[in-house]
Amino acid sequence: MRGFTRLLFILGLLCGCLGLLALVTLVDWVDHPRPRAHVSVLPNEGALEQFVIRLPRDRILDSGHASGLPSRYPADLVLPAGALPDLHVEHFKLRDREGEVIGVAARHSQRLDASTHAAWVLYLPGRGSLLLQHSEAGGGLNAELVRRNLRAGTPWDGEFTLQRTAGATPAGRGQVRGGSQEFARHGGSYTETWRLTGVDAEGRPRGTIEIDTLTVLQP
Amino acid sequence: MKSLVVFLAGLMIGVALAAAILWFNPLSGEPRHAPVLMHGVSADFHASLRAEDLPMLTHSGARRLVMRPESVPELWESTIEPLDAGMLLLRDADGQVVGTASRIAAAARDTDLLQRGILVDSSWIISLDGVGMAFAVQRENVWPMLREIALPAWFRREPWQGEMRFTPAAGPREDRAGRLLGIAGVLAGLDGQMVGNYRLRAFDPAIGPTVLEWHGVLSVPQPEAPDSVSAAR
Repeated sequence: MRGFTRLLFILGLLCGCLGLLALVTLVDWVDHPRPRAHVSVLPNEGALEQFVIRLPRDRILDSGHASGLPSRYPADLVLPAGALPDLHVEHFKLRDREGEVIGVAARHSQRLDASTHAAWVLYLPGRGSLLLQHSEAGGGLNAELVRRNLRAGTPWDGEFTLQRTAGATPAGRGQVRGGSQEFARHGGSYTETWRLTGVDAEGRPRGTIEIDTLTVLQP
Repeated sequence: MKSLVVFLAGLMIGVALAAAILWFNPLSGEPRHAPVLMHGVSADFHASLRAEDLPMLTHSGARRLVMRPESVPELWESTIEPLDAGMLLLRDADGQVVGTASRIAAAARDTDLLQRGILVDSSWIISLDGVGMAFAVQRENVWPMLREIALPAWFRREPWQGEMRFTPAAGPREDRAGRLLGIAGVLAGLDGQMVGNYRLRAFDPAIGPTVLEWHGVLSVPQPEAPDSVSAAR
Protein backbone atom coordinates (compact mmCIF):
# COMPACT_ATOMS: atom_id res chain seq x y z
CA MET A 1 0.00 0.00 0.00
CA ARG A 2 2.82 2.37 0.89
CA GLY A 3 4.50 1.59 -2.47
CA PHE A 4 1.29 2.46 -4.31
CA THR A 5 1.00 5.79 -2.45
CA ARG A 6 4.60 6.62 -3.27
CA LEU A 7 3.97 5.77 -6.92
CA LEU A 8 0.93 8.05 -6.99
CA PHE A 9 2.93 10.89 -5.45
CA ILE A 10 5.73 10.52 -8.00
CA LEU A 11 3.19 10.29 -10.81
CA GLY A 12 1.55 13.53 -9.60
CA LEU A 13 4.96 15.18 -9.29
CA LEU A 14 5.92 14.21 -12.83
CA CYS A 15 2.54 15.24 -14.23
CA GLY A 16 2.77 18.64 -12.53
CA CYS A 17 6.38 19.32 -13.45
CA LEU A 18 6.38 18.00 -17.02
CA GLY A 19 2.87 19.30 -17.64
CA LEU A 20 3.80 22.89 -16.82
CA LEU A 21 7.06 22.70 -18.78
CA ALA A 22 5.21 21.22 -21.77
CA LEU A 23 2.53 23.90 -21.49
CA VAL A 24 5.15 26.63 -21.49
CA THR A 25 7.02 25.10 -24.44
CA LEU A 26 4.30 23.79 -26.70
CA VAL A 27 1.62 26.45 -26.43
CA ASP A 28 2.04 29.47 -28.74
CA TRP A 29 1.77 32.24 -26.19
CA VAL A 30 2.34 34.86 -28.82
CA ASP A 31 0.02 34.35 -31.78
CA HIS A 32 -0.33 37.50 -33.84
CA PRO A 33 -3.27 37.88 -36.22
CA ARG A 34 -2.25 37.20 -39.79
CA PRO A 35 -4.69 38.60 -42.33
CA ARG A 36 -4.63 36.98 -45.77
CA ALA A 37 -1.78 38.48 -47.80
CA HIS A 38 -2.86 39.73 -51.25
CA VAL A 39 0.28 38.67 -53.09
CA SER A 40 0.67 37.98 -56.81
CA VAL A 41 3.43 35.47 -57.51
CA LEU A 42 5.46 35.96 -60.69
CA PRO A 43 7.00 33.18 -62.84
CA ASN A 44 10.48 34.06 -61.46
CA GLU A 45 9.10 33.47 -57.93
CA GLY A 46 9.03 37.20 -57.23
CA ALA A 47 6.01 38.50 -55.33
CA LEU A 48 4.01 41.66 -56.02
CA GLU A 49 2.16 43.26 -53.14
CA GLN A 50 0.50 46.63 -52.72
CA PHE A 51 0.26 48.52 -49.45
CA VAL A 52 -2.01 51.54 -49.11
CA ILE A 53 -2.19 54.45 -46.67
CA ARG A 54 -5.29 56.66 -46.62
CA LEU A 55 -4.70 60.25 -45.66
CA PRO A 56 -5.47 61.83 -43.31
CA ARG A 57 -7.17 59.01 -41.36
CA ASP A 58 -4.13 56.70 -41.23
CA ARG A 59 -1.69 59.32 -39.93
CA ILE A 60 -0.22 58.49 -36.53
CA LEU A 61 2.60 61.03 -36.47
CA ASP A 62 4.03 63.75 -38.70
CA SER A 63 6.97 65.79 -37.46
CA GLY A 64 5.85 68.45 -39.96
CA HIS A 65 7.71 70.86 -42.20
CA ALA A 66 8.86 74.29 -41.12
CA SER A 67 6.53 75.81 -43.74
CA GLY A 68 3.47 74.15 -42.17
CA LEU A 69 2.99 71.91 -45.23
CA PRO A 70 2.57 69.19 -44.18
CA SER A 71 1.60 70.25 -40.68
CA ARG A 72 2.79 68.66 -37.46
CA TYR A 73 0.51 65.89 -36.18
CA PRO A 74 -0.83 65.25 -33.57
CA ALA A 75 -1.26 68.93 -32.81
CA ASP A 76 -0.05 68.42 -29.24
CA LEU A 77 3.19 66.73 -30.36
CA VAL A 78 6.07 68.57 -28.73
CA LEU A 79 9.45 68.60 -30.46
CA PRO A 80 12.44 70.74 -29.47
CA ALA A 81 12.34 74.06 -31.32
CA GLY A 82 14.76 74.19 -34.22
CA ALA A 83 16.09 70.66 -33.68
CA LEU A 84 16.63 68.43 -36.70
CA PRO A 85 15.38 70.86 -39.37
CA ASP A 86 16.38 68.58 -42.26
CA LEU A 87 14.66 65.46 -40.94
CA HIS A 88 11.06 64.52 -41.57
CA VAL A 89 9.47 61.65 -39.63
CA GLU A 90 6.05 60.13 -40.32
CA HIS A 91 4.18 57.14 -38.90
CA PHE A 92 1.07 55.64 -40.49
CA LYS A 93 -1.33 52.76 -40.19
CA LEU A 94 -0.82 50.49 -43.18
CA ARG A 95 -3.54 48.78 -45.23
CA ASP A 96 -3.59 46.03 -47.82
CA ARG A 97 -5.05 46.66 -51.27
CA GLU A 98 -8.50 45.68 -49.94
CA GLY A 99 -8.33 48.46 -47.37
CA GLU A 100 -7.90 46.32 -44.24
CA VAL A 101 -5.43 47.66 -41.67
CA ILE A 102 -2.60 45.13 -41.55
CA GLY A 103 0.36 46.94 -40.04
CA VAL A 104 2.15 50.11 -39.02
CA ALA A 105 4.69 52.01 -41.12
CA ALA A 106 7.38 54.55 -40.30
CA ARG A 107 8.95 56.86 -42.88
CA HIS A 108 12.03 59.05 -42.49
CA SER A 109 13.45 61.42 -45.03
CA GLN A 110 16.58 63.49 -44.77
CA ARG A 111 18.61 65.71 -47.09
CA LEU A 112 22.17 64.37 -47.29
CA ASP A 113 24.88 64.71 -49.92
CA ALA A 114 22.75 67.09 -52.02
CA SER A 115 19.89 64.61 -52.39
CA THR A 116 16.98 63.57 -50.21
CA HIS A 117 17.01 59.99 -48.92
CA ALA A 118 13.90 58.25 -47.64
CA ALA A 119 13.39 55.01 -45.76
CA TRP A 120 10.37 52.98 -44.72
CA VAL A 121 9.78 50.26 -42.15
CA LEU A 122 6.56 48.36 -42.85
CA TYR A 123 5.76 46.21 -39.80
CA LEU A 124 3.13 43.51 -40.32
CA PRO A 125 2.41 41.47 -37.16
CA GLY A 126 2.64 37.78 -37.92
CA ARG A 127 4.83 38.40 -40.98
CA GLY A 128 7.64 40.66 -39.78
CA SER A 129 9.08 43.91 -41.03
CA LEU A 130 10.02 45.02 -44.52
CA LEU A 131 12.77 47.64 -44.94
CA LEU A 132 12.64 49.97 -47.97
CA GLN A 133 14.90 52.81 -49.07
CA HIS A 134 15.06 55.22 -51.97
CA SER A 135 16.29 58.60 -53.12
CA GLU A 136 13.52 61.17 -53.49
CA ALA A 137 12.57 62.27 -56.97
CA GLY A 138 12.51 66.07 -57.17
CA GLY A 139 12.33 68.04 -53.97
CA GLY A 140 9.81 65.84 -52.21
CA LEU A 141 6.26 66.56 -51.14
CA ASN A 142 6.87 70.00 -49.64
CA ALA A 143 8.61 71.26 -52.80
CA GLU A 144 5.70 69.98 -54.91
CA LEU A 145 3.14 71.70 -52.67
CA VAL A 146 5.12 74.95 -52.81
CA ARG A 147 5.43 74.64 -56.59
CA ARG A 148 1.63 74.54 -56.73
CA ASN A 149 1.46 77.75 -54.68
CA LEU A 150 -0.10 76.06 -51.68
CA ARG A 151 0.15 78.00 -48.45
CA ALA A 152 -0.30 76.79 -44.89
CA GLY A 153 -3.70 77.88 -43.60
CA THR A 154 -5.26 77.92 -47.07
CA PRO A 155 -7.24 74.83 -48.05
CA TRP A 156 -6.72 73.44 -51.55
CA ASP A 157 -8.74 71.00 -53.63
CA GLY A 158 -7.39 69.34 -56.71
CA GLU A 159 -5.58 66.25 -57.82
CA PHE A 160 -2.01 65.38 -58.45
CA THR A 161 0.11 62.26 -58.45
CA LEU A 162 3.69 62.23 -57.24
CA GLN A 163 5.95 59.22 -57.62
CA ARG A 164 8.51 59.84 -54.94
CA THR A 165 10.89 56.96 -55.61
CA ALA A 166 14.02 57.45 -57.68
CA GLY A 167 17.18 55.25 -57.69
CA ALA A 168 18.66 53.05 -56.20
CA THR A 169 17.51 50.67 -58.94
CA PRO A 170 16.73 51.48 -62.60
CA ALA A 171 13.32 52.80 -63.66
CA GLY A 172 12.93 55.00 -60.62
CA ARG A 173 12.38 52.24 -58.13
CA GLY A 174 13.53 52.08 -54.56
CA GLN A 175 15.35 49.15 -53.00
CA VAL A 176 13.98 46.44 -50.68
CA ARG A 177 16.60 45.76 -47.98
CA GLY A 178 15.15 42.66 -46.34
CA GLY A 179 13.73 42.88 -42.85
CA SER A 180 12.73 40.40 -40.20
CA GLN A 181 10.95 37.02 -40.04
CA GLU A 182 9.38 36.20 -43.43
CA PHE A 183 11.16 39.16 -45.09
CA ALA A 184 14.60 38.56 -43.56
CA ARG A 185 16.07 37.19 -46.78
CA HIS A 186 14.13 39.27 -49.28
CA GLY A 187 15.43 41.83 -51.73
CA GLY A 188 13.70 43.56 -54.60
CA SER A 189 12.35 46.95 -55.52
CA TYR A 190 9.33 49.19 -54.98
CA THR A 191 7.60 52.41 -55.92
CA GLU A 192 6.04 54.98 -53.61
CA THR A 193 3.23 56.98 -55.18
CA TRP A 194 1.25 59.77 -53.53
CA ARG A 195 -2.17 60.53 -55.04
CA LEU A 196 -3.38 63.69 -53.36
CA THR A 197 -6.85 65.18 -53.67
CA GLY A 198 -6.37 68.19 -51.44
CA VAL A 199 -4.85 69.80 -48.40
CA ASP A 200 -7.02 71.14 -45.59
CA ALA A 201 -6.65 74.43 -43.75
CA GLU A 202 -4.59 72.71 -41.05
CA GLY A 203 -2.02 71.58 -43.63
CA ARG A 204 -3.11 67.94 -43.64
CA PRO A 205 -2.82 66.23 -47.03
CA ARG A 206 -5.79 64.18 -48.29
CA GLY A 207 -5.46 61.20 -50.59
CA THR A 208 -3.59 57.91 -50.66
CA ILE A 209 -0.03 56.65 -50.58
CA GLU A 210 0.58 53.46 -52.53
CA ILE A 211 3.65 51.32 -51.95
CA ASP A 212 4.02 48.65 -54.61
CA THR A 213 6.68 46.09 -53.74
CA LEU A 214 8.32 43.45 -55.89
CA THR A 215 10.16 41.12 -53.51
CA VAL A 216 12.43 38.24 -54.40
CA LEU A 217 13.93 35.67 -52.04
CA GLN A 218 17.71 36.17 -52.00
CA PRO A 219 20.02 33.16 -52.22
CA MET B 1 -9.71 9.75 -1.23
CA LYS B 2 -6.28 9.44 0.31
CA SER B 3 -4.86 8.45 -3.08
CA LEU B 4 -6.34 11.56 -4.69
CA VAL B 5 -4.86 13.80 -1.99
CA VAL B 6 -1.44 12.20 -2.45
CA PHE B 7 -1.66 12.63 -6.24
CA LEU B 8 -2.74 16.27 -5.93
CA ALA B 9 0.04 16.93 -3.41
CA GLY B 10 2.55 15.48 -5.91
CA LEU B 11 0.98 17.51 -8.72
CA MET B 12 1.27 20.78 -6.81
CA ILE B 13 4.84 20.11 -5.78
CA GLY B 14 5.61 19.21 -9.41
CA VAL B 15 4.11 22.48 -10.64
CA ALA B 16 6.11 24.38 -8.01
CA LEU B 17 9.27 22.53 -9.09
CA ALA B 18 8.65 23.42 -12.76
CA ALA B 19 7.99 27.05 -11.81
CA ALA B 20 11.31 27.11 -9.92
CA ILE B 21 13.07 25.62 -12.96
CA LEU B 22 11.57 28.33 -15.17
CA TRP B 23 12.37 31.07 -12.67
CA PHE B 24 16.04 30.16 -12.27
CA ASN B 25 16.50 28.77 -15.80
CA PRO B 26 19.84 30.07 -17.12
CA LEU B 27 18.82 29.45 -20.74
CA SER B 28 16.18 32.19 -20.63
CA GLY B 29 18.13 34.58 -18.41
CA GLU B 30 20.47 37.37 -19.34
CA PRO B 31 23.80 36.12 -20.74
CA ARG B 32 26.79 36.95 -18.58
CA HIS B 33 28.43 39.06 -21.27
CA ALA B 34 27.07 41.73 -23.61
CA PRO B 35 27.73 41.14 -27.33
CA VAL B 36 31.29 41.92 -28.35
CA LEU B 37 31.38 44.96 -30.62
CA MET B 38 33.09 44.58 -33.96
CA HIS B 39 36.44 46.19 -34.65
CA GLY B 40 35.53 49.46 -36.28
CA VAL B 41 33.73 52.67 -35.42
CA SER B 42 31.18 52.92 -32.62
CA ALA B 43 28.85 55.73 -31.61
CA ASP B 44 26.76 56.05 -28.45
CA PHE B 45 23.35 57.63 -28.09
CA HIS B 46 21.05 58.20 -25.16
CA ALA B 47 17.30 58.43 -24.77
CA SER B 48 14.78 57.77 -22.03
CA LEU B 49 11.07 57.44 -21.36
CA ARG B 50 10.77 61.16 -20.60
CA ALA B 51 8.61 63.19 -22.97
CA GLU B 52 11.69 65.22 -24.03
CA ASP B 53 13.27 62.03 -25.36
CA LEU B 54 10.23 60.03 -26.38
CA PRO B 55 7.75 62.56 -27.78
CA MET B 56 5.49 59.89 -29.30
CA LEU B 57 4.55 56.44 -28.11
CA THR B 58 1.41 54.59 -29.09
CA HIS B 59 -0.03 51.10 -28.72
CA SER B 60 -3.41 49.43 -28.45
CA GLY B 61 -4.31 51.24 -25.25
CA ALA B 62 -4.59 47.95 -23.37
CA ARG B 63 -0.98 48.01 -22.13
CA ARG B 64 0.31 49.53 -18.95
CA LEU B 65 2.74 51.82 -20.80
CA VAL B 66 1.96 55.52 -21.07
CA MET B 67 0.87 56.86 -24.49
CA ARG B 68 1.88 60.30 -25.69
CA PRO B 69 1.05 62.87 -26.81
CA GLU B 70 -2.45 62.73 -25.39
CA SER B 71 -4.19 62.84 -28.77
CA VAL B 72 -1.99 60.25 -30.51
CA PRO B 73 -4.12 57.66 -32.38
CA GLU B 74 -4.31 54.26 -30.69
CA LEU B 75 -3.41 51.09 -32.58
CA TRP B 76 -6.83 49.69 -31.73
CA GLU B 77 -7.45 47.51 -34.82
CA SER B 78 -7.22 43.82 -33.91
CA THR B 79 -4.65 43.20 -36.65
CA ILE B 80 -2.17 45.73 -35.25
CA GLU B 81 -3.05 45.41 -31.57
CA PRO B 82 0.25 43.53 -30.82
CA LEU B 83 2.38 46.49 -32.01
CA ASP B 84 3.76 49.54 -30.31
CA ALA B 85 5.34 52.41 -32.18
CA GLY B 86 7.45 55.26 -30.91
CA MET B 87 9.64 58.14 -31.96
CA LEU B 88 12.80 58.79 -29.94
CA LEU B 89 15.10 61.77 -29.95
CA LEU B 90 18.71 60.61 -29.79
CA ARG B 91 21.14 62.60 -27.69
CA ASP B 92 24.92 62.58 -27.57
CA ALA B 93 26.99 62.50 -24.38
CA ASP B 94 26.45 66.26 -23.94
CA GLY B 95 22.68 65.88 -24.06
CA GLN B 96 22.34 67.54 -27.48
CA VAL B 97 19.71 66.13 -29.85
CA VAL B 98 21.70 64.68 -32.76
CA GLY B 99 19.13 62.48 -34.42
CA THR B 100 15.87 60.65 -34.21
CA ALA B 101 14.71 57.07 -34.37
CA SER B 102 11.41 55.37 -35.13
CA ARG B 103 10.87 52.04 -33.42
CA ILE B 104 8.06 49.59 -34.14
CA ALA B 105 7.97 46.51 -31.92
CA ALA B 106 5.96 43.40 -31.07
CA ALA B 107 6.40 40.32 -28.91
CA ALA B 108 8.21 37.64 -30.94
CA ARG B 109 6.18 34.63 -32.01
CA ASP B 110 8.95 32.22 -30.98
CA THR B 111 8.92 33.43 -27.39
CA ASP B 112 9.71 30.36 -25.27
CA LEU B 113 10.23 30.71 -21.54
CA LEU B 114 12.08 27.40 -21.30
CA GLN B 115 14.76 27.99 -23.91
CA ARG B 116 14.84 31.61 -25.09
CA GLY B 117 12.93 33.88 -22.71
CA ILE B 118 10.29 36.49 -23.51
CA LEU B 119 11.42 38.02 -26.76
CA VAL B 120 10.53 41.36 -28.30
CA ASP B 121 11.30 42.05 -31.97
CA SER B 122 11.76 45.63 -33.08
CA SER B 123 12.58 47.37 -36.34
CA TRP B 124 14.07 50.83 -36.40
CA ILE B 125 14.89 53.70 -38.72
CA ILE B 126 17.71 55.78 -37.27
CA SER B 127 18.43 59.21 -38.73
CA LEU B 128 21.45 61.14 -37.52
CA ASP B 129 21.20 64.79 -38.46
CA GLY B 130 23.56 65.58 -41.34
CA VAL B 131 25.45 62.31 -40.83
CA GLY B 132 23.50 59.36 -42.15
CA MET B 133 20.58 56.99 -41.91
CA ALA B 134 20.32 53.31 -41.05
CA PHE B 135 17.85 50.53 -40.42
CA ALA B 136 18.16 48.31 -37.36
CA VAL B 137 16.48 45.00 -36.66
CA GLN B 138 16.68 43.88 -33.07
CA ARG B 139 15.53 41.09 -30.80
CA GLU B 140 15.61 41.54 -27.03
CA ASN B 141 14.85 39.22 -24.13
CA VAL B 142 12.86 41.10 -21.48
CA TRP B 143 12.36 38.11 -19.16
CA PRO B 144 15.22 39.02 -16.74
CA MET B 145 13.71 42.50 -16.21
CA LEU B 146 10.21 41.08 -15.78
CA ARG B 147 11.44 38.42 -13.37
CA GLU B 148 13.56 40.66 -11.18
CA ILE B 149 11.52 43.87 -11.16
CA ALA B 150 8.11 43.76 -12.80
CA LEU B 151 6.65 40.50 -11.44
CA PRO B 152 7.66 41.21 -7.80
CA ALA B 153 6.28 44.78 -8.12
CA TRP B 154 2.99 43.53 -9.58
CA PHE B 155 2.76 40.81 -6.95
CA ARG B 156 3.37 43.22 -4.05
CA ARG B 157 1.44 46.05 -5.75
CA GLU B 158 4.17 48.42 -4.70
CA PRO B 159 6.31 50.74 -6.85
CA TRP B 160 9.97 49.76 -7.15
CA GLN B 161 12.89 52.13 -6.99
CA GLY B 162 16.54 51.27 -7.32
CA GLU B 163 18.88 50.64 -10.18
CA MET B 164 18.98 47.71 -12.57
CA ARG B 165 21.22 47.68 -15.62
CA PHE B 166 20.52 45.17 -18.32
CA THR B 167 21.53 44.40 -21.89
CA PRO B 168 18.74 42.25 -23.29
CA ALA B 169 20.35 41.72 -26.72
CA ALA B 170 19.17 38.45 -28.28
CA GLY B 171 19.84 38.83 -31.98
CA PRO B 172 19.22 38.47 -34.81
CA ARG B 173 23.00 38.43 -35.42
CA GLU B 174 24.87 35.37 -34.23
CA ASP B 175 26.76 37.49 -31.68
CA ARG B 176 23.30 38.43 -30.26
CA ALA B 177 23.62 42.07 -31.35
CA GLY B 178 20.94 43.69 -33.46
CA ARG B 179 21.63 44.10 -37.15
CA LEU B 180 22.36 47.61 -38.45
CA LEU B 181 21.97 48.27 -42.19
CA GLY B 182 23.29 51.59 -43.48
CA ILE B 183 21.07 53.57 -45.85
CA ALA B 184 22.72 56.89 -46.60
CA GLY B 185 25.48 59.31 -45.62
CA VAL B 186 28.51 57.89 -43.84
CA LEU B 187 26.54 54.75 -42.97
CA ALA B 188 25.57 53.96 -46.60
CA GLY B 189 26.02 50.29 -47.43
CA LEU B 190 27.56 49.35 -44.07
CA ASP B 191 26.46 46.23 -42.19
CA GLY B 192 26.97 46.66 -38.46
CA GLN B 193 25.67 46.06 -34.96
CA MET B 194 23.22 47.77 -32.65
CA VAL B 195 23.10 47.01 -28.94
CA GLY B 196 20.70 48.58 -26.46
CA ASN B 197 21.75 48.93 -22.82
CA TYR B 198 19.10 49.92 -20.30
CA ARG B 199 19.11 51.41 -16.82
CA LEU B 200 15.83 51.00 -14.98
CA ARG B 201 15.46 53.22 -11.93
CA ALA B 202 11.75 53.15 -11.13
CA PHE B 203 8.85 50.84 -11.91
CA ASP B 204 5.21 51.44 -11.13
CA PRO B 205 2.93 48.38 -11.13
CA ALA B 206 0.12 50.48 -12.66
CA ILE B 207 2.00 52.02 -15.61
CA GLY B 208 5.20 49.98 -15.96
CA PRO B 209 8.69 51.49 -16.15
CA THR B 210 8.67 55.16 -15.15
CA VAL B 211 12.39 55.99 -15.14
CA LEU B 212 14.13 54.02 -17.88
CA GLU B 213 17.23 55.19 -19.68
CA TRP B 214 18.37 53.71 -22.99
CA HIS B 215 21.95 53.80 -24.15
CA GLY B 216 22.28 52.58 -27.71
CA VAL B 217 25.58 51.66 -29.32
CA LEU B 218 25.88 51.56 -33.09
CA SER B 219 28.98 49.86 -34.40
CA VAL B 220 30.11 49.56 -38.02
CA PRO B 221 33.24 48.14 -39.64
CA GLN B 222 36.09 50.57 -40.14
CA PRO B 223 35.62 52.11 -43.61
CA GLU B 224 38.53 51.32 -45.89
CA ALA B 225 40.91 54.24 -46.33
CA PRO B 226 41.02 55.46 -49.97
CA ASP B 227 44.79 54.72 -50.10
CA SER B 228 44.37 51.08 -49.06
CA VAL B 229 41.51 50.65 -51.57
CA SER B 230 43.62 51.93 -54.45
CA ALA B 231 46.61 49.87 -53.26
CA ALA B 232 44.46 46.73 -53.23
CA ARG B 233 43.44 47.42 -56.81
